[in-house]
Amino acid sequence: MAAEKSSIKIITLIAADGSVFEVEPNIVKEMKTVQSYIDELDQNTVSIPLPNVFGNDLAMIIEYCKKHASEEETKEAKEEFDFEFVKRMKSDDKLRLLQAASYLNMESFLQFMAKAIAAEIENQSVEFVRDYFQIESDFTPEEEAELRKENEWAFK
Amino acid sequence: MKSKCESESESKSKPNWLELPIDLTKNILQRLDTIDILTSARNVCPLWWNICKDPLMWRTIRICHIYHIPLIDILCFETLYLSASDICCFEPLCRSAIDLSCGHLEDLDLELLGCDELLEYIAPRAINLHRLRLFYCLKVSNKCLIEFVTKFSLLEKLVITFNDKFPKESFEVINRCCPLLKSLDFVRPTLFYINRDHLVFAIAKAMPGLHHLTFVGIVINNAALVTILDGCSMLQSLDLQLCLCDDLSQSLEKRCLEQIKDFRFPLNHVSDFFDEDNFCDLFNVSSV
Repeated sequence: MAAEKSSIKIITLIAADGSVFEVEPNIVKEMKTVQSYIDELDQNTVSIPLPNVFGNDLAMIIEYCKKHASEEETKEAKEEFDFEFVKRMKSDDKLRLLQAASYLNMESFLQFMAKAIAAEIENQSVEFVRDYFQIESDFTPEEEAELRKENEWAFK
Repeated sequence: MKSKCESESESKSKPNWLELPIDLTKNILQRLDTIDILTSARNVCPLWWNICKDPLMWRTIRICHIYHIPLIDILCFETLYLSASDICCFEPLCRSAIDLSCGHLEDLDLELLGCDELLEYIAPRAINLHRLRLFYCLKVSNKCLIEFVTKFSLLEKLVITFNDKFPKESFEVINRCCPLLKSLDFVRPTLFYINRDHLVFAIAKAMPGLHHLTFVGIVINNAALVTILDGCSMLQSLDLQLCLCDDLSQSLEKRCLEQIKDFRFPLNHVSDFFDEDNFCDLFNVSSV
C-alpha cells in the first residue's frame, strides 16, 4: 500500500542469517545506520543487508520500533510494552540487542537496553554479576592484591 | 531453511560480555548506584576494574536507596532507621568514589547519609559540580550545608532537605555564589505541614533567576504564592504537589496556569497526602 506513492519506499532488511523483513520507512527512522543508507539512494524500494544482526533479534527490534513509532499508542501502552518486552528476554538476548542497537546506531533503543541490563545487576553480588554475564574472574595475583587494598573497607 | 538459520544464529551469537565495545560497558555501569559499582561491578573482572578507574566514570556519584526500605517508612519512623552507625559505613565508600572522580564530578546525589566532615571532604574535590541533591541528609548542619553549596560556582540544580532553623539570609548568599543556579527543590522532612512563609518569601526575593522551583512539605498560602509569581518571573515549572494549600483562589490558580508552563497544584487537604498510593506515586517509590 505504501509503495503506491512514489515518495514512500518499502525497505527490505536482510538479517545475517538471510531472513528478510519488509518494513515501512517510518520504522527504520530510528536506525540511523539504515536511514543514512536510504538517504543516499533515490529508489522506491531498497534492500539493505545487515550482516551483524540476526533474524530473531531484528524481528524484536522491528517490533519495538513499530510500537514506538505508532501515534495511536498511548505513553502508558508503550511503557507497558517496554516492560513486557524486557521481561521475556534472557541476559544473552539483551546483550545481542544492545550490540545490534549500537551497530544500527539506534540511540534511544540503545539507552533502553543499557538501562534494562543495568537493572539486572543493580543490588547484586560480584558472583551474581559474573554468573549472569558469563564472565570468568581472571585477576592476576597482583591485581587481586590491588583490588583487596582498594576494597579494604569491605574486608574489615 | 528457517531452522538452519536459527541454529546458526544461536551458535554464532554465544555471548561474551568482555567483547562488548567499551562504550557500551561504560553505558551500563554508569547507570548503577555508586555503592553497586564500588562493591560489586568493578570487582567482576580486570576489564571492568580498569574501566572503573577512569575518572570520567565518576562524573555522577549517586548513593541512594541504601536501606531498601520504602521511603514512607523512613519518613514515618525516621529515628528507627537513621542510626548513626548504619550510615557511617557508607561514608568511606563515598570518599572512595570522590577520590576516583579526580575532580570530574558533575552530579552528586546522596540520600540519608552524609555529615559535616564528609561534605568538607567533598567540597574541594568537586569544583565542577553542576547538580547537587542532598536528600534527607539530616545529620548535616545548616552552617556546613550552606558553606558546601556556596563552593560550587557552576551549580545549576540543587535539591536540599532543610530543617526548621534554615536561615533565610542564606538564599542571597547561594544566589550570589552559584550564579548559574536555575533549579531549586526545597524539601522539608516531615509528614506534618508547617507554614514556612519567611523562607518562601526569601527565595522569591533572592532568586529571581530560577526556572524550576519545587517545595515539599510546607503549607503555602495565597500571599506566598503571589510573592513567588512576582519574584521568580522566569519560572517555567513550579511544583507544589507535596505542599498544602487550602485556600487557593480561582484567580490565582488562573494566573499560575497562565504564567507557568508546568504548574503542579498543591494538595488542598491533608488527607490527600496520606493516601498511600498517592504518596508512593509522588515520591516515586513502590508500595510494598
